[in-house]
Parts: sequence; structure tokens; C-alpha cells
Amino acid sequence: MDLELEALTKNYGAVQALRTIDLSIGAGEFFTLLGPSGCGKTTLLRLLAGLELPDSGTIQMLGQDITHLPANQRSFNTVFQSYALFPHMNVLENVAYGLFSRGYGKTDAYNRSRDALELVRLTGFENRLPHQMSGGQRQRVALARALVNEPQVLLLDEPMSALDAKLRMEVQVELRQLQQRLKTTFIMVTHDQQEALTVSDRIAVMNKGVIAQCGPVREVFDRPATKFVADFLGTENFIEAERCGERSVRTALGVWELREEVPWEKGSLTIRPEKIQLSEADVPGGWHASVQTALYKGGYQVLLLDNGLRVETDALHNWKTGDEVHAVCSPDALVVLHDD
Amino acid sequence: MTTNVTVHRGELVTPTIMRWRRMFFMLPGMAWISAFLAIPCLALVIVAFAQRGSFGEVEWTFSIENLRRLAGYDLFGWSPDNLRILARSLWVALISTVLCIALSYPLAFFLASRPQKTRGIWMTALLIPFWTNLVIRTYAWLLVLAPGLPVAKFLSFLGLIPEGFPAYPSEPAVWIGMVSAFLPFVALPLYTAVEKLDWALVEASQDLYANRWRTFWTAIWPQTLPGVSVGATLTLVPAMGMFVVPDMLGGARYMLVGNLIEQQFGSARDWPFGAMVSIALMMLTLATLMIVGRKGKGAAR
Repeated sequence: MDLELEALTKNYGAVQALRTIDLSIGAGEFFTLLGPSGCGKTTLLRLLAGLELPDSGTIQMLGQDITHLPANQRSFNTVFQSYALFPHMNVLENVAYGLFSRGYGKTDAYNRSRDALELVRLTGFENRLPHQMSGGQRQRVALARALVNEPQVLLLDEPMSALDAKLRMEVQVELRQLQQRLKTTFIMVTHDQQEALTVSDRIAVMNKGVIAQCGPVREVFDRPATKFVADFLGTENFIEAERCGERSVRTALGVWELREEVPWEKGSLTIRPEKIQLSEADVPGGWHASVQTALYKGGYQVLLLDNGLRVETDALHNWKTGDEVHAVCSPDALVVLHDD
Repeated sequence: MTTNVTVHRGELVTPTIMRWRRMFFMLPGMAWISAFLAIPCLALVIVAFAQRGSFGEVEWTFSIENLRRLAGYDLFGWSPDNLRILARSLWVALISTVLCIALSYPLAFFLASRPQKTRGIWMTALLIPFWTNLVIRTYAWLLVLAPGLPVAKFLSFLGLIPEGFPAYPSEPAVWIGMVSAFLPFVALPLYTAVEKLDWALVEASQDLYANRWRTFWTAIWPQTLPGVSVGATLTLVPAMGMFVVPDMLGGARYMLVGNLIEQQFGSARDWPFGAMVSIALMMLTLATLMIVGRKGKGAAR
């Protein structure tokens, strides 16, 4: 692994921002720190950037301890949440800033900067001042200003929080494509789970200064480890269960067979709302329920059933309030939560 | 009927109504300015080209004699005294302004970094001297710099002044007096600028490999420039015309343009020449502000 974080802690007075963070991030990975505000994700990013020092623990890059290396000596560059473009410098000067700091000649620095601007499709904007550009353009300048330095790791602090919803989708795709082309390690901080899923190879879901779960996006999404992770990723079905066999549990909806061993006597399960199938006819192993609320969402519909389950299904069949349904899901969709 | 009724801040108005309303609200201010600024300025210009009568009255014969005198020509030929006074005034004002900025810079950061609770106390401490009259404050400096007291003792120890003498009259004593008179005028606007400072720019600069010096000049200095320029203006303008401080701390032979003007309107009873010197001071101040302002803008780009 490329970047190794070991037992990092950081306190602000009585507030524990980070408690014992261990993390490995590989070269060329798009890694995302996902979590609600105040979970410590931004603090962690600032430790990586060298803008804060941890109280204890180490950060190693390619086996070298960089924990105490100042920001201006790390080959990490940051795209700041506010972009932090120098308002009195034009776009080209902003992009060339890091190169000039490191003593590049004028011609060389400006040529490289023009290449970086081309990379983010801003050719022709060289002489604009930041305040003469839109939010999306400014974000791309910030990206070019960081990437022109060919950093080992690019850090992105909520890079899309200032963009509107439509633009955000476009930028997500662009960012993903850019990262795959450059093969630079990207580490992004966000509180938007959709954004995290779209762009990342792996994500770490953080809560109250600890990493709740870390893994490839699909794994974290499909098999959340704890109630917090499942909830944060948009699962709303939590089912109380009791162990009644090595791989089976008893719930209010019946006895279910699981694909994994049950680690507790009493605990909870979760099912993603889109993993539940509905039919009008009775199905073996299915649960009978009636639709309490039906919400039409365009591409899909959301049904709230009288047994407390939330179901997301395609909009082909028009389910209505009061419809009697039979719900079923495969044992793969049942996820055992490992809360203490 | 075609009316060009428009909505202005939620109110239906016509251009005519707006025009009259503007006139109405501008009138008191305009009247004040013309009564107490424009007319006196005009009077100043007229008097400047008149003559002093034998008894110190204004004699209404017009010539450019006062301009010639200002340039140094009089009955006994040419002397550089007046021009030297103007140059010295400019120099002292610039030095005082630069000193004020240099001293205010750390002060502003200190104030801005105080917790909200104690900040008021520090602000008050900065402003307490201003509860006292400038003349009295300057007298206080005479005491501080008096012979036998630490400052004068230290300076005589260094061999800069003879044993048993005060640390005044001297040019540095004038600087000290000026700085203590104008420091808050720079420190307060600068503090406002520092308080609003966007530290993300500083972090961005650090992140982009800049050293401290580069970070200061590109991420901090341009952001404080509005404060610096307000402070510089508030110091430079009154410092150019200051006469209390140079009079008391600079000694009899150390004359600034403020003293010259005061002398003309006072003991010399030569109002026309005093008016001419006043105009020269106004022009010099205006020119300096324009040059400094342009320099400031250049630095910000």
C-alpha cells in the first residue's frame, strides 16, 4: 500500500475529532471519506494535507514518515472547499502558483499551466480573474492548480458542495474520468453518499471520529456492517431479529434463512428497499402486506407497507394505496448488522 | 396615457418622482458642503493671490508674488527654505505612515486573535490615549523623553545625545509623537481587514509549496490592503499638516508646513501667504495620495 495511516488521533479541547484512525490507501485509488458533518473526515484530510498535526499516530507515504512534514514540503495538493483561488491573480497565474513556488522558469511554468487548463477544459480562460467565472469554472481552476504540480496524492475537500445538483452530476463523471486517466491517488471528503458511490473505488464511512466501515463501494453499499452505515447509505428497513439457528433468525415477519452466520442472540437485520420484490400472487416465503403509502418518483416508486417496510420498485406496475401485495427477497439481500 | 412608472424596491415610482426625491435628500448635505467647504476653498484661492498690507490686513491687489515667495524668491534672492519645509513635511508624514503601518500590522493580528470576550478591553486600551487632548499627550512625551529618564539616559549611553540632555528636539522625537497620534487610525482599519481575512488562501499558498515570505505577499498582504490604504490615508493627510507635534518635539528650527501656515496666520499676520502655503499643502497631499493609491493598486494586481 501507498499511504498508511496508523493510530491517528486528534482532539480539539474536549472534542475528540479523530480516535485511532488506521487506514491504507493504494496508489492510483479513488478513495472517499464519507460521513455526516462533524464526523472527523475533514480533520483527517487536513492531517493528510499537513495543515494540522495529529496528537498521536503516524502517516507514512511509500514507507516514509511524513506525519510532521509541513504542507509546503509534501507532494500532496488540495482542492479546497471554497476553492481558495487568489482573487487578485488571473487563472493562469493561479494555476502556475505552485510551480513558481518551486522555482520553475516562467515559460515552463506557463506551458505546464496551459496544459493543466486544457486538461480541465478551460483553454481560453487564462486571463480571467476568479470573480469573473462561474462556480463550476472556479472549481476546475482549483483542480488544475492542484494537478499541475503532479502530486502523489490529490486531496479534495467537499469539492462539489458549492455546485448546483445538475452540475454536480456532470462534475462527478468528469472527476471520475480524470482520475482514471491520470491514475493519481485521489482522496475525497464528502457527506453525499451518491457522490461517494459514483466516483470512488473504495470508501470509508466515518462516524464520531472513527471509521465505521471501509471497503470497495459495492461491498460497503451491499453489506453495511452497522446500523449507522446502513442508515447513512439510505437503507431504511431495520428488522429486529432473534437467533434461532446457526444461519436462521426469527423476526416479526417469520423465520428467515440467512447466507451468513448469526453472531448474536438478539440483533437487527437490514434489507435495501430496492432488493424487495413485490407481486400480487402469493409467493413461497413471501410476506403478505398492504400498501399504506405509494409515492411516484418518476423512474421508480416508493411504497411504504403496513408492516413497516419501505420498498422501492420500478414504475411499470402502478401500485396504489390499499393494494394487497406479497413481498419477497432473496437471502443474499438480508444483511446482518454487527452493532454491539 | 403613457407613464413610465417603474417599481423601485417594491414602490411604484416615476423617474420624475425619483429625481425630486434625490434632490430633496441631497440638499442639506450639498448646502453644508458648499457653505463650509467650497466657498472657503474659493476664498482661500482668492486670498492667496492678494497682498499683505502694512498692518497685517489683506490688501486686494492681485499678483503671483506669494507663489514666487513660496518657491523661495524674495527681496534677498532665492532660498530653498520653503521648498525644504514642504519636502520635509512630506518626508515626515511618509515616515510616520510607514511606521504606523509597520507597528499596526502585528497589533491588528494580536487584536484579531484575542477571544471575543477580552477583545473589547484591548480595543479600549488602544483608544484610551484618545480621551486626552493631543497637546497634553505630546506634553507627556516631553516628560517621557526628559533628561535623566530611561530613554534619554539610554540614548546618552549610546552617545547619541550629550549627558544630561533630553531626547528632544529631534526628528525621531517628532516621529514618535506622530506615530502615537495616528497609530489607532491605522490599527483599527487594519484590524477590520485582518478579522475578515480568508485563511483558506494562506493554507492554499502553503499547500502550493510557497515559503512564508511568498505566502505573506500573495495571500495575506493583498487581503489587508484595503485596511492599509484607509489607514495610510487617515494618517498621511493629517500628518502632512500637523503642527502641534513638530512644534513641541521638533524644536524651534525644525519647521513643517503646518507650523509655517500657523505662523503666517498667527504671529506673522500674513494671511495671503498663509493661504498660498495652505493651497500648496493641499496640492501636495492630493498628489501624494494619488501616487500612493496607484502604487497600492499596482501591488494588489
